[in-house]
Amino acid sequence: MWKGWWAIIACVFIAAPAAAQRSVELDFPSWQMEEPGAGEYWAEITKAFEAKNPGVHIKRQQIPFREYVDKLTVRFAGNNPPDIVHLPSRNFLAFASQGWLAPLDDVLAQTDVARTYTKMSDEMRYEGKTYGVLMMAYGMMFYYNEKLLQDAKVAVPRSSDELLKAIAATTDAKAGRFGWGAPTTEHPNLYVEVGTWVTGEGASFFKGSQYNFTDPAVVRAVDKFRAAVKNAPKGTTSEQARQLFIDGKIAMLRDGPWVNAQIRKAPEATRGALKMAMMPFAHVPGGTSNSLHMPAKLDAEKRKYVAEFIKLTTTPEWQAKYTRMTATPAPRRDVLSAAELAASPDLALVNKAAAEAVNLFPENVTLRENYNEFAKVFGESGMKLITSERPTADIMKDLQAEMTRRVPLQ
Amino acid sequence: MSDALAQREARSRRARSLLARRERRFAYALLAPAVLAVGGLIAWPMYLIVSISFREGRSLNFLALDRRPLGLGNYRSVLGDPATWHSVLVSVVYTLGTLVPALVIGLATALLLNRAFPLRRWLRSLMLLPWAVPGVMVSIVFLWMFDASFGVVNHLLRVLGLAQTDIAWYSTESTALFAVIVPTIWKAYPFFTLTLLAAMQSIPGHLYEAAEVDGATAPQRFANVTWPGIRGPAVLAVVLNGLWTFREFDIIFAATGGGPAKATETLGIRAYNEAFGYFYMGRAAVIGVLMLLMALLAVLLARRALRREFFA
Amino acid sequence: MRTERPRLAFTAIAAAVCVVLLFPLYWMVLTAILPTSATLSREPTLLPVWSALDWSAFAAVFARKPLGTWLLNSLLVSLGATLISLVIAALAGYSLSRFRTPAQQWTGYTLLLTKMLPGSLVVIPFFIMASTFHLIDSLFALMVANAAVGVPFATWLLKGFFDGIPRELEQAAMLDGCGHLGAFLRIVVPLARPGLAACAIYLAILSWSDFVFARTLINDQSHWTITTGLVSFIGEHGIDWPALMAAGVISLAPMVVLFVLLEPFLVSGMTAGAQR
Repeated sequence: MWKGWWAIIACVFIAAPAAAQRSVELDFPSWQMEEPGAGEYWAEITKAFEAKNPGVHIKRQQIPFREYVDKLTVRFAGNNPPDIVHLPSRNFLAFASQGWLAPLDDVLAQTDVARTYTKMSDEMRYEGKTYGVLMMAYGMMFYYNEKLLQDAKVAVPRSSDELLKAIAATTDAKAGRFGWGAPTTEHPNLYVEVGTWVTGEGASFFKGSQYNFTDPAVVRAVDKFRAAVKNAPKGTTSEQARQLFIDGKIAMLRDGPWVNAQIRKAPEATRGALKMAMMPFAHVPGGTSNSLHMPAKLDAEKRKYVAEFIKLTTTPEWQAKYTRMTATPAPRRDVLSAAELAASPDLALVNKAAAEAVNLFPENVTLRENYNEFAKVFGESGMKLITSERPTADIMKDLQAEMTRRVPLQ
Repeated sequence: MSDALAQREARSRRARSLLARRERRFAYALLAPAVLAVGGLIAWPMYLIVSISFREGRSLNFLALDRRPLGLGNYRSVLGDPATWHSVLVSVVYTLGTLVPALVIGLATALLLNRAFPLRRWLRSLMLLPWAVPGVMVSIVFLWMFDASFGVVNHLLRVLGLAQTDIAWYSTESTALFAVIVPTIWKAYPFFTLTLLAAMQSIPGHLYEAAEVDGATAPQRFANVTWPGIRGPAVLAVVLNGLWTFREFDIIFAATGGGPAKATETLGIRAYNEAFGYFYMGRAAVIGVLMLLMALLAVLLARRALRREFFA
Repeated sequence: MRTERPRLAFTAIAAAVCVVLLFPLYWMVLTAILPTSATLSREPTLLPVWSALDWSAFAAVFARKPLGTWLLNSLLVSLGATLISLVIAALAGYSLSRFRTPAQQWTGYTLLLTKMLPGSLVVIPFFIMASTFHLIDSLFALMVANAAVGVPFATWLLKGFFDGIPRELEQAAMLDGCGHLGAFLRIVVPLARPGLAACAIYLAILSWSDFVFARTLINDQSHWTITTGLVSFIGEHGIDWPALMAAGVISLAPMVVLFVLLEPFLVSGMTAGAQR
């Protein structure tokens, strides 16, 4: 009798590790796991993936955005990277240049990304290889508080000059109401804000492989930025500006399409008045937002599954779900039917903006590798534009000299 | 006769030295866990930081350092950058700007709490409370209070007629450093209150009585009775709190991130930016070494006073 | 009575000082319990309007996030770190107090050395060390890290305290046949209770406030401490001030309770330690 028991026990001990080996866990941290819209998307797609691949479990982890890139940096530097890498596009090149990411050309060859994704996908290329898949590229949207505009008897602006007038009309600083919301504290997003005005007016900070800060067209656009920001609350970050808009203290705001999801969660009192429209500029500024990657350090079995997961995100079915659930544009072109676009004006708007967007972020590889430093130097001048009375041309001249010194373009 | 005496003396000397050796071993054994815990925690990081500072290149691969060439490039780049010395200045101003007011507040509150009065126990607990607030929370609360448009500080200034327009505390060059020093003082003063109060309460009462009998005034009593009694712990508290303030990061990072225009960029913030912002780990390590040397210098300067407190 | 009036004057002064010094905490509580319209305005109400109190922020905070789990984790880490640190510091403090060895001075400098490295740079080596010992996501790693940080000051505190306990007591015990360690454990430690309590409070506060270790070593959300949890209220896209302040009040509450209950030990413990 005992021999029988020993046999069973032996079988269990042999079988158990084998069973354990068949179960694979993929580590997938992101800042979006609890975000309205995006969080649900990730939950659904991971469940679908697990259903298709029994024995594989994707462990989603939420990391607050403010910590996110630092934590990932520590993990990569400590040789303990996650299995599925989700990055804000701003940081992609810095990570790639450290050799931390694996090239995905063979994986993407099995998809139709090259044919069907937006041109901004080219940003995923580094030194001749593709190191990631774009999750979202966008065009800036214009958000306004209908009630505040009506109270000031102002129509929804359709040009930058109308916008400036509308901002002045809706500002009543003593009552705590501001016409415009923008980052007004030294922050990398200052580049995005100023860049929006410049790109929107058709100018550019870059000419060939040179900085173009002193171009008269650029200076004119920056002047408009300064006029707008005079009526914005001081010392606010982008997050605070968005929150103030949601709380009904700011009349107009330019930001990415993600604010729409936040509007859906706004308090009853203000939600009805918050609306989204196309940017009142000649051109729609935009950029890439975030992307999915594979770490260079990954064992063969996990690599297979991560590749499958990445491929799953590029399918038309999941691209459509992405844009529906997050209310932000999908990188795959024409992923929603005309009928669906007609039924959801918001989705139609954001996808239209994304399709027309002019990338306001630099294309130069050196610059993208050193984007953080570039944005920081720019931010310092940005603060001078906001707080000092010096003429724009002078400040831009100083910026040209400083930037050429600190982040030289090759 | 003398032979037996000499033998007995030799035996007792051996016994004493054996006892001394056993005692010494025991003493070291007791110290070992502390030195191991603390040394283990800092020895390897310190070695890594120092060795990275001497390596060229931008790789963040900490585990493959020997693949990179040795060189002084990072030192040349950092020490030759005027921004580095600006950060040194900001760090010094920030540290002293925090320590001096915190010491004054700590001393004043300790003197106050040294007297017996009703409800003293509760008021003492309340006065020490800021110490228990996590640094992260301190920065968040003050960020909210100093908010330019809706913060209560600006509101109070308006009500008191001291300010006409909104002061953007954290995004104006002239006010940013002040606006990060205030929360740091708030978090730092209870430590002074506590150490100074404890020291004051151990001064024997009869010394004060003797001074009063001799006709000493309050300031004279303070200078001749109180101060000598608290000087030692005060120096140690200044050193400990100073080291903490010098390295303080969370409060400044949450409020200004080092800006505007480097107005609040202490060495700690600069090191973080170089490491995590620009991926220049070598330069960050040099700044780390610089901070280490500055802290070491400060401790060495206070060596004599510390010796009495810490090692006597 | 002539002596009472000046004494009450001190109470008044102390109370006034408290009002000024504690205003930030008061403001934090107020923002949490008043509706947004009252606080997010150019004229925020300075005194609570009792009829308009809005406790929904607290409920929302508990509903949205696992605050209970975070508090529990912080509690475990603080408890563990305090115990480990007390043991290490008591042994070391006793050694420094009773035995004059050449190592003493160097021990002191070593202990101070921990306070000289900038936290922002040290995170990557910490991470690598923890990763090597498979201690990522482990609350135990947090306990050890926090314990090590607290040892220097705790050692100094306890050393001072032990200095105040006459050596004759242990020597008497040793003459009776106790070993060194026995004498320490059976005679000195019970007498050192106030000093140990003072240390415990200091260590508890230190580890409760820790942010650097928690954010570096913990990935799994179920192992977050209250400090990392707090920061998660600052999202990529917005800051919810009332919820944030509510969470802050909740995160502070256990420390306040501990502090108010045990604070007398802190002062008396440090006082006795300062007596030489």
